[in-house]
Amino acid sequence: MPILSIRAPACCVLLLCCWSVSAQQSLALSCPVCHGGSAASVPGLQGYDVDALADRLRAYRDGEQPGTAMPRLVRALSDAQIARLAAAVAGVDSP
Amino acid sequence: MNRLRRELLTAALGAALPWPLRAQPVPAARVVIIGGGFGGASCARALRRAAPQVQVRLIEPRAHFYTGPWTNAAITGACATGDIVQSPAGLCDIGVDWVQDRVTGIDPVARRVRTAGGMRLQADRLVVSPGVEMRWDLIEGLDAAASATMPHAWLGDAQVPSLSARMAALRDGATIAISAPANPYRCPPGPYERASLMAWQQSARGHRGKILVFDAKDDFTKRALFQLGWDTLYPGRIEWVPRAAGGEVVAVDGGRGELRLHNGERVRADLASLIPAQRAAAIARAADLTDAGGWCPVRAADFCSLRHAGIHVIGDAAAAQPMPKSAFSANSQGKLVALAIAAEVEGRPPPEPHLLNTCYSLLAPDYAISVGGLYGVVADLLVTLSDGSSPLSATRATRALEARYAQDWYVQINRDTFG
Repeated sequence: MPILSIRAPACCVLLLCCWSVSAQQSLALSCPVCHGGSAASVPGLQGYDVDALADRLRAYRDGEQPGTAMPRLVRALSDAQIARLAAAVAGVDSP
Repeated sequence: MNRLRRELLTAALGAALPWPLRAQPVPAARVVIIGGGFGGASCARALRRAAPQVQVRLIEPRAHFYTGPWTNAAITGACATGDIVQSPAGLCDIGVDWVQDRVTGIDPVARRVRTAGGMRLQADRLVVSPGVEMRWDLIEGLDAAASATMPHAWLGDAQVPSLSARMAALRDGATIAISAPANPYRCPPGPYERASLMAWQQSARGHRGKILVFDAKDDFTKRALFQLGWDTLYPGRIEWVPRAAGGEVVAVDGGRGELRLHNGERVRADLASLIPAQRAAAIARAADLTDAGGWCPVRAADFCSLRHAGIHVIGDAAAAQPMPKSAFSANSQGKLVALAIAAEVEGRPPPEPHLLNTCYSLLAPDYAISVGGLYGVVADLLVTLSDGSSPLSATRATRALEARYAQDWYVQINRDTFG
């Protein structure tokens, strides 16, 4: 009897905002691979504003926010890169 | 003016005369993508969204295939084989022209593609994402027929249900042999995740048993984490034999189900899963896109082939070290290439080349470890900007949390890639 369930919830909402962003941000397009909004345990990115996203990313980078996958992915980003990434993910023009 | 724009303007001038006779507008560019796995499908999807005026044709002969990720869960009954079936069909919903056919030839200079069904496709840009093929020339006696008796289940084909059935039929006390190849190969932690989940299945069935991992190398990704997990979950059940201890498989006898190791030892297991060494799929080699090592060298900034202009190679076939050959890497590379092509068509500066990877390995359905990294370009080289893996000191609660992340990651990357 299979014990793992890997079927997506039928009501999941796809994260589409990344596609309206600056086409220069290839990194932003990788976020929905995990944070696409269909997962129960991994938060989607809907509803974040630019500042909240940037704050969270900086906290992961600086070790102030514990995490599993995220700290290792953002450790090398500068404040300016985080600001551009957050803007791209939130679907607004890059500052 | 960049080269693609110049070429496209020339093509548009050439196409101007018959324009009133055409039912469809002339596309801004014709992109042909070869291969509908995580790289090709991700590139097609991203390109449709980033540059809707570009015609995107994706050639993939398989209507359905098993995904590499979660194959080990499927062959050990942790999920059903039907749970890991994917198809390029969903890409048609967003305007990708899926050609269900097999590519038989690529002219890398003219950028023309020939298919088994007799199609001749002209591309302005080619994206080649054909995956890997097995090498039969490194282990004596190993060929496709012998491989069928010792299934690798590494290519998303009929060997997946075959190995699943063989696992389900194993008796109490069975010995399983896994052969892991030399680097580089698709899914570096895969052989060790396989050993873990095979041990889990034996344990869950209340079976005694032994799993021997014969390796063509002396180290592997996340080794300390795997071995700690094996000691914790399956003490004494999994034995890893590195190359230095003679563990490399040098010959097989498919008929007898026998492996011969470099140290001269002959091993007959109840079940062998021999994962051969790999190289870029044959079509990449035939198209003159590979180097002496059998992989496709690419420019880091946009994965353009270093051997032929106007062709991008992504996914497992590309020589993209230090990125591992993973589904996430291929997905990330596909998106970067889509943005690069879109930027070129629209005359914008190229995208900032940042790439990501995250891979989860299940040691049991409630115990996972992960590795991940951020990659960028420095001095024209693809480099690791930051990376890391699960800490050795993590609690069981964290391993269980990562197992839930692994499940959700699998659902989400499939949705992100295939729709």
